[in-house]
Amino acid sequence: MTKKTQIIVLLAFFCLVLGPFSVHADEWGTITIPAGKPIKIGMGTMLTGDYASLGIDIKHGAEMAVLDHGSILGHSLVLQAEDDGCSGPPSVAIAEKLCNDPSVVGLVGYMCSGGSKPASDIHDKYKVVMVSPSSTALELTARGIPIFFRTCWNDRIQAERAAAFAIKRGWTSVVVLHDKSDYGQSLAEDFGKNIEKRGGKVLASEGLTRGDKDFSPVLTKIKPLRPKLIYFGGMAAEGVLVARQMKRVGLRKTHFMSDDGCYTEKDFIQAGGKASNGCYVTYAKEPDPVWVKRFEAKYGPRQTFSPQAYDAATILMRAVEKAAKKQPDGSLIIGKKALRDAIAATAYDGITGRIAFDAHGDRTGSVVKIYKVVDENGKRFFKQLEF
Amino acid sequence: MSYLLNPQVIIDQIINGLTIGGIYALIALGYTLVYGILFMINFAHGEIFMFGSFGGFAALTYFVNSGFSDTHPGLSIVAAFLAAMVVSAILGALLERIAYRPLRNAPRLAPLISAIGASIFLQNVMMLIIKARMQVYPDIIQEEFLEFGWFSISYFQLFIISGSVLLMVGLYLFIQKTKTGKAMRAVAEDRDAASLMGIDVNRIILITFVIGSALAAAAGVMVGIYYTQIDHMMGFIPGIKAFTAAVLGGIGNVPGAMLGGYFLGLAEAFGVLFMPAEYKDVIAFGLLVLVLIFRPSGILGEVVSERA
Amino acid sequence: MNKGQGLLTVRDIHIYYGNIHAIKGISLVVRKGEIVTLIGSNGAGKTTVLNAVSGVLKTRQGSIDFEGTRINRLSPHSIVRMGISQVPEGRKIFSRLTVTENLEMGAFIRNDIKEIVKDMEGVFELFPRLRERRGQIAGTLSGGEQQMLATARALMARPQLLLLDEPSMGLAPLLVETIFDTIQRISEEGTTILLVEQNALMAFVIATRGYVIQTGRIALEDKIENLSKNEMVRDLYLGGDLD
Repeated sequence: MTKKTQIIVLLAFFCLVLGPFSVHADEWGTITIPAGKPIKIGMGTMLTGDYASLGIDIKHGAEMAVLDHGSILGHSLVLQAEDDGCSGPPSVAIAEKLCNDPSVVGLVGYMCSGGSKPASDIHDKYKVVMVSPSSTALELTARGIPIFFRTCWNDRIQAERAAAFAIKRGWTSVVVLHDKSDYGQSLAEDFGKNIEKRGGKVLASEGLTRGDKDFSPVLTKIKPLRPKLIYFGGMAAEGVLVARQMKRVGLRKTHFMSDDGCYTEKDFIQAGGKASNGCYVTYAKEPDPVWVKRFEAKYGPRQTFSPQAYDAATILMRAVEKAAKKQPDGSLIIGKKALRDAIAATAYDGITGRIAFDAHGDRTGSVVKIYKVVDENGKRFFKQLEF
Repeated sequence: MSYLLNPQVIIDQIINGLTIGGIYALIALGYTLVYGILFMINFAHGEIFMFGSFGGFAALTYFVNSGFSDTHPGLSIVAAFLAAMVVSAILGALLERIAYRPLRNAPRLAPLISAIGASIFLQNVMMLIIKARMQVYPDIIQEEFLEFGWFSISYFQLFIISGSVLLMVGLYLFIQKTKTGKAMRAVAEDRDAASLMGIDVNRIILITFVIGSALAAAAGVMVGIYYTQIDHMMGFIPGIKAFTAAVLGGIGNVPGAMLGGYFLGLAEAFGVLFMPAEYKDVIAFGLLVLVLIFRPSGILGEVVSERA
Repeated sequence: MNKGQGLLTVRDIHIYYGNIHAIKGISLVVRKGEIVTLIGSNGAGKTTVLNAVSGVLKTRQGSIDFEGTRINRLSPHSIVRMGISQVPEGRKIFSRLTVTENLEMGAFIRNDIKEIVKDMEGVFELFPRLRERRGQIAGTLSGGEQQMLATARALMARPQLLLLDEPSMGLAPLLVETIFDTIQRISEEGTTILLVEQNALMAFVIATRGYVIQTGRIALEDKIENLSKNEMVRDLYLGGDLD
């Protein structure tokens, strides 16, 4: 035996013999919250920038859940919200920061798929769970990452439902636009595939630049194709401009349809004014109206994902409650794997409906509804359609 | 390509190009006026445009809240333009006084760095004011369209196209016909000789900043009304594009900046027909690179030579 | 000396370019109605003195008084308003402006539009060539026409004192004569003149008094008839021109 192998064998022996005697065994390690210290719920969402009203809405949802929950086994709760900029680099930085904070048990977020994707690799490395209220891209739950869950839906469902609705309405010739983001592009492309699968035709597909304001040239280019529908995969800031500028360049008979990113009162309906009338978007079924009333009394009109954020935070806190072991000295020890398993085993009636997760971290039985902006009695709002 | 055989597409793209081109031109004039006199690029000009847009936004929001805009929508818009121009003019004057005048005789790099610093400073000031959130211009006037059978033009587009032309004609007449305008041209050509005529050079430079800033403010309000969304970073890309327009036309040359603005707007509109829309910005900056390589003096710029 | 106080009094001025001591204590007086000439070789400091009077250069020591008012702390544009105009060396006309616009710039400090129009007629009478070219871009004028324009432009301010810097430079001999004839006429119409010239021969024809400046100091000062008899002046400044 060489010296090296001797050491390895010796180490293996110690592990085998002493392992079972360690008091709080968890194959992923544990989180210890000292006595009297608060439990931190991490959060990554956009707090500044073009989609901030969406991000702040998410923060409000989680904040309300934390306040409603109060405390866990005598430990107070703190929501630590960080600005993830709806993009990769800041999300990764937040992941590194919060996963290395010993009092953070898990995270609600990130807001955008483009942030959740790279950040989930960091979370996987440290085995810190994350529950996203709003990252819907297909690939997030297709990468075999065990600590990722979401209370929103998978875009596969969103694309499928939207395409089925379009075909049923007879909108068989469509143009697909997206904002080149992980979220918008994969959703839009998937929508296109679904349209073609159902016998429709995708006339053109174009990428737009986030932050650009002038889409009239590309819409003018599309105009001679006479599409029945323009589908946009992306966020409201750009989506509402597409809807507005479609009317401007004369695409007035063409329908506009977009995704949950455009399901926002402030950035789509208010910002779009009259031009938002008759636009279609997809979103989950309406959340519990009692909750909505309570939320709006506190924070004003809700936008998009605050209900999903409320449920995400609640699920995380309930799982902590289940996995935490109170020690005689008043501290809490939480096994990371135990916490993950507790979330995976969730069976809970949230304000967005029954929540349970499949093996990939997607919600089982999630439904996506079609909404239309209507102007009734002098008020413009998203009206859920029967479909 | 088949697009060029379609007169409807051509007319629509011309309208699109003239609209955004007019906005580029108004901003480009500020770069060119200042460069013409001081031989420096005022890189904070995009932020002056941004502040103008917010000045108009504040005024319009006030009119909406007070109900004034319900009874006098047209007057509200005019007042918003004036408010924006005043805000930007004051800002431009302060910028000249604080950031540039002390460096007038410093090496050329110093005012450039000062300008970039001022630009970042102003972005951050506005970020603090609006808490880094996008703001939406109030819809005071509904967008209607003039129909011409197979094409139509929006009132907003008509307003921007004619408004920018009007402002530019006004500026051109001011520079050509008024005593102050002629003094601006004299200072641009020879600062020392101008001072020997009894022209207060500092005052003329200040006026130049004020005029350029007011034009940028008008563009800012137009952008607000047309695109509805404004934020603290909104000056960056239009600023660089307008700078490109100024260079295209020949920096320091007033008609050149106007021409460059329209040229760029039309190039963007027509360029999208031949390449994917996501490369729209590539057109502007590709043009900038080409002009800098092959004709650095711009379309109308004279080849730089010593005076006879 | 005679007739008491001068219109312009320069007392012991010192001027530096960075560390270079260019003017080392110069004093001179220009009285009302005179044509005073400042001669000297290249780099002696003639233009520097004119620029100090115009306020373009700052003096480090000494004083400059105009009609009894201290002016060497004023900005160039305020000095123009007090009644001193300069025709700078190399003309420095605004080459991208038209002839008329150049003249309007000359009258920048004035607001009496009717009088300006009248004065413009006056300078056109003085320089008929300019009238022909009034709408033309000044950069397209010939060298002699540009000199006329520069002189005419300075007159448009209705100065009491006209500073002329090398009006003959680069001009054909025939044109030089025309220019100097005109300077004489301007003087006869009541404008005091301080003339800087390398072409001392021409300057001596019209000037009443002269100063000889050598490396930043006044070497000689006298009436023209005495100066032209001076051995050194003849050798250094008039000799070469006799060929």
